[in-house]
Amino acid sequence: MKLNKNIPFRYVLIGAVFGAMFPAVAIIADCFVFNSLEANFAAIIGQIQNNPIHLIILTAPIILGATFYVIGRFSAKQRKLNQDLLQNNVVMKETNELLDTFNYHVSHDLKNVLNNQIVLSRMVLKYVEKNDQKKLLEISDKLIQVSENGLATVKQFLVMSKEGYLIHSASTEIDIQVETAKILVQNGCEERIRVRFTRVEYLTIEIQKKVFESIFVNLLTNAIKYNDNNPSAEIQLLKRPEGKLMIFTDNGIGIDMEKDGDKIFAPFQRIASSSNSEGTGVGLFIIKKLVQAHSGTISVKSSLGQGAEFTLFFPNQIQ
Amino acid sequence: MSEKLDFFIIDDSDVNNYYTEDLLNEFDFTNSITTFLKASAGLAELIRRLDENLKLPEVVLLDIRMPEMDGFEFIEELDEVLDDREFNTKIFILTSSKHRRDVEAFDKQRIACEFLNKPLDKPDIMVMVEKHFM
Repeated sequence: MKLNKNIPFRYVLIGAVFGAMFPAVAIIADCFVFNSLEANFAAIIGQIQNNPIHLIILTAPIILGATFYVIGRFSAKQRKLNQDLLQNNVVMKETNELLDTFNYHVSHDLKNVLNNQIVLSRMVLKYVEKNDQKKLLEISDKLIQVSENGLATVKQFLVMSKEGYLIHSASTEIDIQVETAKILVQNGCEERIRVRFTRVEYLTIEIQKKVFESIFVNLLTNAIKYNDNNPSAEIQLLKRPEGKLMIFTDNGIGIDMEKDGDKIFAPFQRIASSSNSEGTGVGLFIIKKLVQAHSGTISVKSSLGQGAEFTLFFPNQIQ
Repeated sequence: MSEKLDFFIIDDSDVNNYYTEDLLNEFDFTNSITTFLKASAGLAELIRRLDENLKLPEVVLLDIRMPEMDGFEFIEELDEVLDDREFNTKIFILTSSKHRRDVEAFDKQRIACEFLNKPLDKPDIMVMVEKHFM
């Protein structure tokens, strides 16, 4: 909030008017009360020149004006401080609310993972006693899946809390196709989704590697998770005069934009569900934050059953 | 206990459903268990049975945090549908977190009778059945 410039000048005016009353009263008293002078200009000037005390009193409007200016500035500053404080209070309250929500979801999701591990371990004990090998294999499979989900959840929350730090690390020139292939292998996704680059008008982009990785891991895992068929994705890299476009199209279950359009980039929203979608609901929120941190934008086009098309735009001047 | 019990489990966690089903199957009083991964599917089935005058389950175990429709939305919608109709099914909230927000929401509603913590174990179920069905 800006300092209000009018306040000190209002104070100066009050000071000057107040100060002007002193010489006025002094002159009136000297000329007409103590000495019965005639009410003409020359006589009054003569009296002022005779009595040098008037010259001192005449400085009162200037001195009081200056004093009031200082008080006015101080008061304006104080007012600004108060307004800032109020504003900060509102921001703090909102942040607190967000942290509380974050805490609720993190603890809930992690508890779920651990609970699932507990119940499956209990089942292992039960079926070891019964010596049921088939059931034990089934439970072990689920245990692995639960643990992998848990790890992914923790990673996502870590990215969320590391967001601030990511923004300040250095950007590097990365080859999008090479990096995407690497991400697929590193996250064990290369067998689970088919990714094709259908149009390539540029090869590299200046971005923080971790940011690129987070964005693509989230887009790819969403494409795999929210999909009832064989997941596949098409990526287009298009050059525009003002920046670079990345269009990521998947063949998943799609999004009902009318119902959920305004919710999809908000945190902790799990709008879609398919048989294997146990998520945290922070993926798209993270992507949006990361893209915005690179002065970029993200938008989505989709309808139910028709897959989703995410358009990411990074302007030429990345700050 | 006069009759055996039918259970509905409504939870998007298939691991938890897998476990709870396995646990309930150990008891003689269990007649049937139906699981729903979506609250809306469970709600639709309850309403269908209500409308067609079919037998309702004695127990519904209901998770809170689910996509699309959460446990409390389920309760709200069921409450609206029920209006003044007779409904003897016991609904138990089954959740892994007793967060303040959830407890407050639980206190505000009149359909669910208890708040159970995940994971359920044998004694929990025995206490629950003894309290409400014996």
